[in-house]
Amino acid sequence: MNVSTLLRKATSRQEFYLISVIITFSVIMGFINPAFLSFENFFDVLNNCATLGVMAVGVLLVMISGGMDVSFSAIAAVAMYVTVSVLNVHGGTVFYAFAMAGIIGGLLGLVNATILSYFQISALIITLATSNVFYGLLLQLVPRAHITSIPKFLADFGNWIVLPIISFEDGKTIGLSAIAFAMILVMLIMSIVLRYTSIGRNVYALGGSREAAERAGISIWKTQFFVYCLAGMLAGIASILNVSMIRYVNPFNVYNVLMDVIAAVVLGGAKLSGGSGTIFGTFLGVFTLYMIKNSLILMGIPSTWDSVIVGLIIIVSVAFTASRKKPA
Amino acid sequence: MAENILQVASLSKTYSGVKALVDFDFSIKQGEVHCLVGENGSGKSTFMKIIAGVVRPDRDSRTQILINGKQFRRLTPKDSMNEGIQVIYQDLSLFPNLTVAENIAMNQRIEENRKTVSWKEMRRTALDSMEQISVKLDPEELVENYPIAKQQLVAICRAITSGVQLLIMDEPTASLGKTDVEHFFKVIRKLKERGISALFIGHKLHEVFAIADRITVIRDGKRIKTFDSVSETNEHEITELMTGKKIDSSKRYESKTNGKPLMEIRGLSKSGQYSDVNFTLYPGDIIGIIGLTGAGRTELALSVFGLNKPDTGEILIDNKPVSIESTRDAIKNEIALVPENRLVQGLFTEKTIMDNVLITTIDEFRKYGPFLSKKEMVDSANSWIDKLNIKTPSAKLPVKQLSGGNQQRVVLSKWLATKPRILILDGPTVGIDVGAKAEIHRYIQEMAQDGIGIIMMSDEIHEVLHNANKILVMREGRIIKSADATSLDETDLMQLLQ
Repeated sequence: MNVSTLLRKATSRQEFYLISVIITFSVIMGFINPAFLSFENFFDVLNNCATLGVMAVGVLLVMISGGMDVSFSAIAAVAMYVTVSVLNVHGGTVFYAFAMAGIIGGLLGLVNATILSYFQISALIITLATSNVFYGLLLQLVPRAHITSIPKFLADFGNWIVLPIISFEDGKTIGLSAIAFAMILVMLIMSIVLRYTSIGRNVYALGGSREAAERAGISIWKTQFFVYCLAGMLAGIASILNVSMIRYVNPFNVYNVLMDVIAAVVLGGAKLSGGSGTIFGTFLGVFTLYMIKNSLILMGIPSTWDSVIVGLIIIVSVAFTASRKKPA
Repeated sequence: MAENILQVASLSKTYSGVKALVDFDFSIKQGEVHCLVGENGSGKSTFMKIIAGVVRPDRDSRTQILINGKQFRRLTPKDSMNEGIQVIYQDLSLFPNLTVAENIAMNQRIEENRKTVSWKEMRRTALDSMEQISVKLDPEELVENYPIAKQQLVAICRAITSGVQLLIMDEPTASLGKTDVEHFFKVIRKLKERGISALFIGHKLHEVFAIADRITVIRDGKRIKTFDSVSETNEHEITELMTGKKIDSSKRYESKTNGKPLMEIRGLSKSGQYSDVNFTLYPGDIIGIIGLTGAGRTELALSVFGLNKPDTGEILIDNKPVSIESTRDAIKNEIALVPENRLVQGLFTEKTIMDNVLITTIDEFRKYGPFLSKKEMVDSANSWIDKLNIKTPSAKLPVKQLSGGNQQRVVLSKWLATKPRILILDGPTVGIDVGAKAEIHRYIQEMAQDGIGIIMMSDEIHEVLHNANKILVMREGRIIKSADATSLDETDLMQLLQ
């Protein structure tokens, strides 16, 4: 493979552009505010990415299959509230927390999948509706769904630095946190699932052509259950990462990450029409999105501009993905 | 004599009272290419689907299905595949977003019901399969990056991965150019050498004659005749058997009206597409411009319709030079174009017949401010359905549910609704079967006799020969011959096109 074909392949991938954006951005921000290029800030960004990142993996999966899920943030809110309430009363371990939130998320995803498989209507509309039902029910049953104290083991998990890089004398350590590690683990596992398992390849096949998939003998039903349940499960897991980091339960915050996650996934190169997208691209999408938001803070721009920026990112990246030239 | 790989007798299929297949007999030997020809709706796809196991035939004690000597009461898709039968549908059923290798290895992976995938193995399967038919494609490339002809080869490679014995192909050449068809035939012959049989369902007769060992004609669900060798018959006879109508080959279209020139094209050129095109169109004329794909005829058509600006030359209408730089200009000059690819460029297939027919003239139905008069719209749509003899139960039927011939009529009426004086038809009967073709041709002639000037682009010799009064032969962007249709015959045109 010579240089020109390598370049041609590279420029045909969204990842290439995202890395370029990240590098350019880092250099510029480094000049404006040297704090941006510190190790501390890097791991901070990674840590803060985790909730978004894990949810984004689920959404990516759904999008590759040619579907859409906008209920994941509501699912996360419900899973988070229920899990923390139960564990606050009965106690438990970090493992229980993840398992429980994952199962609740998976079950709510199952609701989406079931409705979808019975009625072949737009996944966007269905999940928009179920999102309202899930979140609405939560607020209905527990009007003040805030919990200010969380189990100690979750707070400890949030503080845990798995891979320390620098230790300060005052006891503060900088390094890879358990939260960031969890995100990376989820991404690695899902990369393998998507690339090396039949069910993973079937997700791509379904997104590429539903009819061809049917004729090839791929079970549409099974594949759809897989993606929607997994998206719910990952939303549940993400909610525990979020609560360990923030240390209190505020469903509203989690519910509101919806657009950020979708922005990150489309920024990462996934097509809304299905059939394409990679975990690495999504990771870069999440990272870029968070970096942009983070630098707005460093530049002192009010956070009220956030939603404007996120909206613009969605428009630009969808347009960019659509117009990107295919390699000849 | 080779063994029969497939033999059916007295096969019938009735869809809610309509007989799609009646006492059908058919057989295919090992290593044979058997072509099944018939018009749309003649039952050939029903037959194909029965053999693929997708459609169940009627219960009948006389029915026999023998595959590899095994008797089957009824086939399931799995039985069919297990017996080495693979179907390539017209749309190829590939995954455009996946690589060539993954597409080719797909059937194998699903059949073996694996839990994990090995990319190395998929690549090997793909290379193996490509080697068998001497095809070279990059296994790592995405299928969508290949043109349709190459995609078809991918579909064939996929079909032969799992010990195929009989390959069924539904109109495989429908979207291929001339050189691609030749290459495709080479591949089929390669398969033949390896003892693989092919059932080829088609309607382009010259292609059928180029590849078939045997030909079976089907009409109204019945087997009309099987020819054991192509030398026993000719295109003319097959056409008559397919349609059940006699066709007069010496017939030419005669322009009845005349008068002042309607449109004159003078020295029209566009670099890389066509050069120095001259002709004059009179009312009542049908000018047939014949040229193979790539000869520049489509580009020329687009230029006259304002979609492809020429470099030099002029267009005169009623002896006055006009500038046609957009479709708006073209419509103002009462020009209409029926494009080559009607599904992509000419129709909203999800929408109803009425919506499609009236879209060009929708403003005429504004009665109450911005509101449309529903009644007038329905009446108008129905009058077009009557006039062009569109076969449909209702004007509210989505266009995608119509047959190709009827879809083409919808496109025609859509443009005729604008009452054009000049009508450009690019490949007016591409993908339409013989019977419907004749009817569309008759309608085109009637329109010309009403005083419309028609320019008909085509790559079919018969189409221009029998339906145009003037013929221009186009080759590599130049008009190499311009003559009255009466002074030409089939052999002349064939030689000019070579």
